[in-house]
Amino acid sequence: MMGKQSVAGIVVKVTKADIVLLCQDGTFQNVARPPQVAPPLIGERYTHIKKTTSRLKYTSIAAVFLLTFISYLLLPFGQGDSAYVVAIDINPSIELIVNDAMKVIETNANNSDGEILLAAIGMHGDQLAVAMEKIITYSEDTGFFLDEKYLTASVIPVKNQKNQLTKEVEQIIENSISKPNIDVIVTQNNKATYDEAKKRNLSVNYYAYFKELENEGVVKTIKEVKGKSMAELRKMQQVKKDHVDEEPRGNGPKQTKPGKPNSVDPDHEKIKTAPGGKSSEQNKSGKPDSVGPVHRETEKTTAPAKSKAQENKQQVEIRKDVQDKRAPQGQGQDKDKGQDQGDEKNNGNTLKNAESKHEELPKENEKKREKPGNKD
Amino acid sequence: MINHEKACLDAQLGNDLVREKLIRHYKPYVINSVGHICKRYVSWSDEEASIGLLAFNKAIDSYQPDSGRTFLNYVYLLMKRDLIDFFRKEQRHQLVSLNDEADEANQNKYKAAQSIDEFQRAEETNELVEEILELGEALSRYKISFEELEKFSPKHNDTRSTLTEMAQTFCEDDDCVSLFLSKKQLPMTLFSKKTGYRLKTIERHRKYIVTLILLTLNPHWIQLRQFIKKGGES
Repeated sequence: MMGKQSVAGIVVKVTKADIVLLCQDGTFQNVARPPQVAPPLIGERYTHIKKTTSRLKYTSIAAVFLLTFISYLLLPFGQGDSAYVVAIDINPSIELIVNDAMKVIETNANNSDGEILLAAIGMHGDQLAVAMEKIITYSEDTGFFLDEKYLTASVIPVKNQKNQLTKEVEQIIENSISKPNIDVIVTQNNKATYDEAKKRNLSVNYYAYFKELENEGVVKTIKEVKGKSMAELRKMQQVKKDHVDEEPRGNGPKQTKPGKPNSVDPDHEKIKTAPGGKSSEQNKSGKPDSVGPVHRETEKTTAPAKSKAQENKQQVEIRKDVQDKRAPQGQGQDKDKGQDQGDEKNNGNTLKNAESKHEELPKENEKKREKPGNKD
Repeated sequence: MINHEKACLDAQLGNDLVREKLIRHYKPYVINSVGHICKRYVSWSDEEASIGLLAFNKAIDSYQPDSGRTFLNYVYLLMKRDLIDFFRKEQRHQLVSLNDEADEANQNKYKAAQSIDEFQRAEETNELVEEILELGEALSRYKISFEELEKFSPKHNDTRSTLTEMAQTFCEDDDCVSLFLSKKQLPMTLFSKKTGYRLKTIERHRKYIVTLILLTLNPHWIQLRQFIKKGGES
C-alpha cells in the first residue's frame, strides 16, 4: 500500500540533494530536490509530495528475506538445486557444485592454488564441460600441471541419484578433457566420504587416495600424508608397489574393475581413462595400472603361490580338457579350447606353453605394466 | 536589516569593505538564482556561478534606488541577461536563436518574460527573501546551517510548544541573552539552572532553540514570524 504525504513550506535553502523548507508549524524539513526541474528560488512557496509505503509492505519484504535466509541455511550444500559436487585436484584443489542441468552453481577452493584458479576464471552458470575446459586450459597456461599431468576428479551425488546419472557426469568430465598427455582419474564417492574428508579439512580426492594408501599399507595414519601433494602420494604408492612386486603378493592391489566397489567405500568406483589415444599403462611415471591389467595381474600373481602338486593337478586338468575337445582351435588360442586329439606334440607343446607361461608370469607382468594392450 | 540602498551607494563610492559585506550577504541568493535561471543545480565551481557573481557586482555599481525596481529584482535581471549572453556565446542556440527574425521575436518574448518575472518577483515578497538571507547569516555565526535543523526540529506539537516557551523565557533573561550574543553560544547550564528546564531537552534541541531565539530577538523579520505564527495557530 502506498500513501502520499505532502510537505509544504517556504524555501530557505537549496543544496545539491535537498530543498530545505521552513514549514508552517515552525519546523524545518529537508525534501529531495528533483534533478530534472529548475531549483526553486529562496522565499518561494514549495510543496513536496512524499510517497510513503505502509509498514505492512516493509514487514512482508523483511519476512521474505528471512525465509530465504533460513532456507539457504537449512538446505544441503547451501543450495536447494545442487545435484552433484565435482571435486577436482590437479595441484589446485577445487569443488564445483552443479545442478541437474549440469550447470555450475557454486565453486569452492580447498587450497591456495584453488583460490587463485577460482579468482582467475569465472565458472558460475557454465556447463560442466565448459568449466572443465577452462580449468584445464588455465592450469596448463599457468603451470599448475607440474612434471606429471594428472587430474583427479570425484563426483559426489547430493540427492542419492541413480548410479547411471552419476556415470553420465563422469562421462561429461572425461569427454571434456580433449588435451592429450593429461591423465584423468574420475571416481565416484558418496556423501559420507565427502563429509569425512571435510571434517579433516581435506579434499575428497585426497582423502580417498589416503584411504587407498592406508589399505595398501603404504601409510598408517593421516599424519604421514598431510602436507604432501597428490603427486607425492602417487610416488609413495609407486615406491611401495615396486617394493611389493619383488616379493610374492598376498592380496595385491585392489580390484578396480569398473562396477566393482572399492573396499574403502562401497559406492566408490575407480575408472582410469587416458584421453588422446594413450592407454593408462603407458604412463611414464610407472603409475600402477587399474582396471583390466591390475585385475589380471592379481589373477596371475596368485598362481606362483600355489604348490607344485597343485600345479601338476592343474596341468593334468588342462590336458584332460584338451584331450576331450575334438575341434582343433590352433595353437595360441584359448588354452581351455580343444586341439587335435592325435596331436600329442601339440598337446605337449600346449602343456609346455602353459607351464612356461606360469614360470614366466612375473616377468610378463612387469612387461604388461609397460606395454599397452597385452591381453591373454 | 541590511540597508542595501545605502550600502550600494557606499560601495559605488569605493567602500570595498561594504562591497565585500554585500557580496557575502547575497551569495546564497546569487547561487540560488543562477541555478534557477540555468534550470539546474549550480555550484561555485561552475562558470555560471562566476558570471552570476560578476553580474551582482555590476548591479552594486549600477543600482539606482529610484529606478522603480527592488534591489533583488535588479540583481536577478542583470544575472539573467549575462547568463543568456553566455549561453549564446557558448552554445549558439538555447534561449535565443541566431535567426534575425526569430531574434526579434525572442527579444520581445524576453521582454515580456522579464516583466512577468518582475511581477512574479514582487509577488514573491522580496522582504521574505531578505529575512531568510539574514537568518541564514545569523545562524552561520552560531555554526548552524539550515539543512541541519531538520534533525533538531521537534516531532511533536507539545515539544514544539515547550521549545517556543523556552525561547521566549530565554529572551526575557538579559544575562542569558548577553552571553548568547557575545559568546555566540547557548548558555545551556545557566539557563537550565535559572529556569528549571531539563538540560537534556535543551541539549537535544539546542540548534532549533537557537533559531527560535534568533527569531525572537529580531522582531523585524516580520514575514518569517508571521509565517510560523500562522502555522502555530492552525
